Amino acid sequence: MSQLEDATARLKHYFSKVSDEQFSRDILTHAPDLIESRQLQNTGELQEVKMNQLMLFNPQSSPLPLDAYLACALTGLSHEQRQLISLVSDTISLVCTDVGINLYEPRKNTDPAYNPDISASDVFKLDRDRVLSSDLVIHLCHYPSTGSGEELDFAYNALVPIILVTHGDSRISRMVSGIPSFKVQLNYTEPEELRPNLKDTLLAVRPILEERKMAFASYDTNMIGQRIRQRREELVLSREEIASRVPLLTAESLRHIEESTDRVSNPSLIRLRQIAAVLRTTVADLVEPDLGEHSVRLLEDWLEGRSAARHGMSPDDRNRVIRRILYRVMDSLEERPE
Amino acid sequence: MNVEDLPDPEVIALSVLHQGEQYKPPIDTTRLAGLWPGLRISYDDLERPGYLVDLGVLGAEIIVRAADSPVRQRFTVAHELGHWVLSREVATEGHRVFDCSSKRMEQWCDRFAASLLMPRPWVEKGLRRRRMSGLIDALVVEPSTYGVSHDAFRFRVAELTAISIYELESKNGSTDVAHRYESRGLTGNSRSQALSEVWNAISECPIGGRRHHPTLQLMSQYKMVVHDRARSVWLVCVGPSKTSPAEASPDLQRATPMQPRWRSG
Repeated sequence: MSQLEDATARLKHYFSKVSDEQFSRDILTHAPDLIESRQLQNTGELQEVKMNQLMLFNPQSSPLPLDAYLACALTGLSHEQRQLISLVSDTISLVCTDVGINLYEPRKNTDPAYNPDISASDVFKLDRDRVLSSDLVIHLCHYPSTGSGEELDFAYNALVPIILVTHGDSRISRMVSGIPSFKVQLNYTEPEELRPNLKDTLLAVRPILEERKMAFASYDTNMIGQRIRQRREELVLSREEIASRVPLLTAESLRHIEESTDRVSNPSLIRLRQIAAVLRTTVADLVEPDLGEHSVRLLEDWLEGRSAARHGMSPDDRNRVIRRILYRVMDSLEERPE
Repeated sequence: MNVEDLPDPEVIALSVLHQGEQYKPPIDTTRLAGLWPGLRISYDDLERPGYLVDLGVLGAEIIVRAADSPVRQRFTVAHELGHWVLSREVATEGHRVFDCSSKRMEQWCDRFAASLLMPRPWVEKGLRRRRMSGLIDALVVEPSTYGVSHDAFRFRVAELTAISIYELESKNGSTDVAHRYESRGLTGNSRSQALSEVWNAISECPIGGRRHHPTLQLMSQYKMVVHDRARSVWLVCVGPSKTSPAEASPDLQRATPMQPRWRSG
């Protein structure tokens, strides 16, 4: 008897003697990972699913993973207010998990009530970086908060979409409702409304979030910071010297710009102008790809499809061929009629 | 698709030579490239022998490895001209060249280069004029006349005639085939048999033996061996046998007028 036949015979014998319920209990005991119970419990749907329903594979397709940031008031809340924020936050977390969005909750990391030892500057840096690297900011408008107002400003400047969650007739500041970003306002009256409404909203905006994430992927490189550092080192200047010549710029913030990705550093245009002036260069030189690199990349792409590259070309030969092409282009410019 | 589906490189090469008013060797490859406005030749420090870069409306550039010998550079230019001419030919005659594998394209361009630098009528005429006894002189002198390497000329002779050429090298008392240029005019068995006879004869004829002729020793009516003292090599030319005309290919028939006039060894 072959191994396959033997295994089949054993399975037949087993299932002829065991009930569905016993089988499920055995599975839960010996192979709990086979039951996707955690997610079902989170969504409160466990009772709707038969206990003996095995989920050997995830029937949902794997969507692009997205990150969201939950902005809300944390400082100066009463016990009741904190409880409400926790309840709403948990609900939002469950919904986000359900639709494949990783939610970052500052209350679990930098809450002043539970993490008083984290310095203010670290909280600022940590939360700012989180907002800028997120694909969505969900703002709970239940209580006024200067901190979350700041986070909304980060989101606005980084073109991060915003969902404003409001309750009943609560009023929100016009400084929030007036942010000219891509934003959606989600109002709920009863707590049980929040979950389905938020889920629908998230599913509706997901294509936009995915599109933005793909489009912004190129900003996850550090081009601006490297250019600034390179130019600064060419001029043999320290960060402190640059900072002393730029109004309101600190050496620490300059280091942050130099060492962070463009998406995270995201310096303002005015700041870039100031830095460029001290570095005796232009904003364009700092933010645009180098003309030489750009031209060579274009020529490489062009050459890739030409017959000269038919057998593969060493990097050295490629560079020399590109140089020859540039000579020809220059010659053609001289021969060009006025 | 085979190379045979492409235009005949010999015909295309003769057409280019005619357009470039080239009527005697060596061929002026620069002048031929000048037939096409915008087609330039440049030299650079390359790792590969050369490239053809099609620049569209700007023309094209043949880039040649500067470190190569002049004869190698001429072959590179001719080879890349093959690519250029073939692309023009495709545009005008509609040959389905892009269906060909790159290897076959390269083979076509090699044949074109050989046809351009050593045009078939010229080589055949020269060999007929020298007759078989002058073959050795042709192998020695003609490469410089055509501005090609000895290798290239031997391959061309083997391609155009039924003569296979072997270069045997003697080292430390043993003799090995260092290079072979085999014609399709004889079957492999015939070539092997002829070469074996030559080999046996060589073993009985030590270098610097009693015959002091510096270059030529005749083995039989259709086999010829040459001792090139300067290079310490034996050059063996194996031709068709009179007794086996059936082995003659069309190439062989072309070679027939070149009757040997040497004494039997």
